Amino acid sequence: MAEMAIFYDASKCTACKGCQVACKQWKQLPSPLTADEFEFTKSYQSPLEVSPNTWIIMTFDEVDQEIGVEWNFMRRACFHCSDAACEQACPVGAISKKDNGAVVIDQEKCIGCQYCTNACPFDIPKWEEADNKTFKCWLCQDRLANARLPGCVTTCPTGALTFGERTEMVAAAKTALDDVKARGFDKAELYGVDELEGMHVLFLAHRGLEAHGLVRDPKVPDMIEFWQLLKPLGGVAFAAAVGGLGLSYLSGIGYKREEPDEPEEVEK
Amino acid sequence: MRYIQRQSKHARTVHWFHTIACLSLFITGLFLYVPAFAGGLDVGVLQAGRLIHRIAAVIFIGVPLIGTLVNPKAVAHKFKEYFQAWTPEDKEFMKKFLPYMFAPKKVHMPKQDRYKSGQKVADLAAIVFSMLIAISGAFMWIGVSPTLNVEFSASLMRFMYFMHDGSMIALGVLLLAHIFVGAGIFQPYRGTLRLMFGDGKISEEEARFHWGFWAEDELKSGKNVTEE
Repeated sequence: MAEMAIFYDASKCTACKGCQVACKQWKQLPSPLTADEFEFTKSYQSPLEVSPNTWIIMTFDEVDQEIGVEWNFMRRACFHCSDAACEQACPVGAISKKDNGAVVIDQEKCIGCQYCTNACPFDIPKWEEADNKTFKCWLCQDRLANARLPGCVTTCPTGALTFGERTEMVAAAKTALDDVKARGFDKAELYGVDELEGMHVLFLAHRGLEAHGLVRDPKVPDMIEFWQLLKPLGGVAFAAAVGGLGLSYLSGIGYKREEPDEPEEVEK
Repeated sequence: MRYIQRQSKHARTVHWFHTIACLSLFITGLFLYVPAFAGGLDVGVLQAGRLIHRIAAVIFIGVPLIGTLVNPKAVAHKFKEYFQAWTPEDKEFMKKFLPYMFAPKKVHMPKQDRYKSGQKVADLAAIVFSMLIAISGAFMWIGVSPTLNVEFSASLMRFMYFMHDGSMIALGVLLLAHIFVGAGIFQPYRGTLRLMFGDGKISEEEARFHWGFWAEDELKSGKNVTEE
């Protein structure tokens, strides 16, 4: 199966949040029903962060300018990295990379240990107490299996979200980059083409990565890589110990104790 | 035959609890350490394993602490002996230890006091790694506890994962060697199993062989010596 990808073009996005709603609707993810659940922050961004029940949000970076506000939007959800820290950290193999590039949590296997939530360089997977499970976008695997587009892509009214084979999406992203640069957005950059060995969500940040809140040069945290190294090293250490002790045992076969030293006279 | 009481009931009880806790921790931890082991298991079984891991962790940390509170003098005395300056025999023992493990018929070890120098080094290393495991484990537990609701930074938690597994490997290797020697699998140490899993006594001959200076002192004082 070919690797697939979503391409998000921030220059076309109006932050209507249709994608947020479509995701919730398709997955039937509940919204809080209590009043004032979210803190008022004067921003249009709502909710402020992804959660076990909100797998995608539109982030709003609202910059005051001399005339009006400069709006920088970004789609915040799982990036479906090829070098996925969450997958490496999962101790029970509940997180896997699919042939189409999606990084998916198998809820039947998730034990809620939260290793993935601490491993992800983007802080995307979120743990839910009620189910003791961790949740994140799964690139609508059920829809893709039935030849349908991901929910968020289906609903995008401006064409800011498109979906297709990754190679085609990379080509489209490069064309779009040239286009926005020609329109005067000198700081425009692509994100996700090479980062973390290639993501399966690509971004065109027409005002530059930082303006859209993207982490430049993301990496699997060093400590996660060292930690993963311990697994084979531990195996080698235990095998060496067992081997060494086994050799020691063999060398002791037929051992007879030397005569003990003459006991010193014991006072009675 | 004369026997010397080497391990008290208190020490053996603590050791029993710690043995059970350690084995439970290693077995249940293994399923989180090697994803392939966990792959075929039902999530309920894994959750039960995590629960057992935490109960065993409480025993692992709590029992030595309670043991110290019950008999602080014995523990203080033990540590005092651990940090005594090494004698020439102690140094010789350490020098010969590895060759002895692989050629026990040819290498002869020097007399030792109550604790062999190698035993002191291994015990202190085990204490350090146990403490690192306990500290990192506490962070890993508290950091995900909805009841305590304490949030540690992701980078701190990642360090704790590394420290927990790294210390586990070091302690595991030490533990294998401890079982090999302490349970008397290594031929020259046959009979030592009784010290922690029996009545805590050791025969005069065994005592002289393993801890010569200590055996002579004990036999002289006669305080812990019985005829059987």
